[in-house]
Amino acid sequence: MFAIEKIEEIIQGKLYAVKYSALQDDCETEFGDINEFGRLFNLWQDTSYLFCFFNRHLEDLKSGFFGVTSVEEAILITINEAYNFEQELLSVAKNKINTAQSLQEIFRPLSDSDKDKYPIPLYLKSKAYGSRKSWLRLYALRLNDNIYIITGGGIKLTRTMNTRIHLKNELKKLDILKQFLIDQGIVDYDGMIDFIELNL
Amino acid sequence: MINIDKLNKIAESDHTWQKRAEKRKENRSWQKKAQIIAVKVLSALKKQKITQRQLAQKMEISPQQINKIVKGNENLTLQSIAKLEEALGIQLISFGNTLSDQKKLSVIETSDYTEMYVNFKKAKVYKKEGIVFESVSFQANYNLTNSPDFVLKNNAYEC
Repeated sequence: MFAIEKIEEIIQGKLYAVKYSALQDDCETEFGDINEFGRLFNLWQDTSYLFCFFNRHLEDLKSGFFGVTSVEEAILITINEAYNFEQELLSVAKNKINTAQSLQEIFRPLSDSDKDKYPIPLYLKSKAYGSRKSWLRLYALRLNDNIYIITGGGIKLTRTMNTRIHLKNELKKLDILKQFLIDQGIVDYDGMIDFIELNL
Repeated sequence: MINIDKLNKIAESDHTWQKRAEKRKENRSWQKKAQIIAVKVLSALKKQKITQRQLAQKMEISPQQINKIVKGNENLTLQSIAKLEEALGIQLISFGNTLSDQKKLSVIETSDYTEMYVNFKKAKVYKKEGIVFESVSFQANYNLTNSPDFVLKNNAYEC
């Protein structure tokens, strides 16, 4: 379902992203030769995609978790957050000093129970927030030396990830990458001792 | 054990996202407006049960062009906007912030004061200062470039 085609380097020596060989989302209308990082920032700033996405998840949107109830408002909020998030990462990429520290500030552990752990344990599944209370998420595996590999991302309208298919898929992608890294000899099984399981 | 060299060996470098991000920054001012128009067009299409292809036919433009518009990627001309408005029977842009336009105020009235809002600008008038409103809904002339302060003029409140 999620076959990894390749891994691409996004920020030199620090941030990588997975490229899959299949379409990820029903609302996507185009499929280009693009990794998850680029794909998500394109989608999150694409009114047509967002209109489809929020109409598909109207119930979650209207559940009041974020206090936004109209599709129109949700689209414009998403675009604005994605834009700011992307510009923040762009400035991290351009300001090569403290890149590692900046990324560690942007990426937070996935499980709430791991939030107090600093520095973040090796192989920890991480998520980056677009901004405080944002519904945008990037998911990544963190290796040592502050190296992150982005596996995917999503718009998280519900409190936990395991309640919606599109977010469950993101958890699968994290595990697929873990296996891929083992198969490629980038990490070994012993190294996986520090792998932190999700606590949803 | 982690072998970063192996990771770097298989990973291809792709910094094209930086160019896209820079372009988005460059286009930000007009694109924000194009995205609002795109949302309005998408909402109208859904409401009127019209496909993008049908809209393209109606406007005599290509479906690809409509696709670009609804993605918020088209730097629209006034002519294109007018054509879209005509085809969908909706207003996409407004030149409403002029002195001649009449807008409704929303008013919150308590025993001590009255608060009035015009496009999120607030004015608060305390009744102990001698001004008491009898009506909770009325019209006022306004100009966004003017001060939001309300003034009493000819028995109407202007801001």
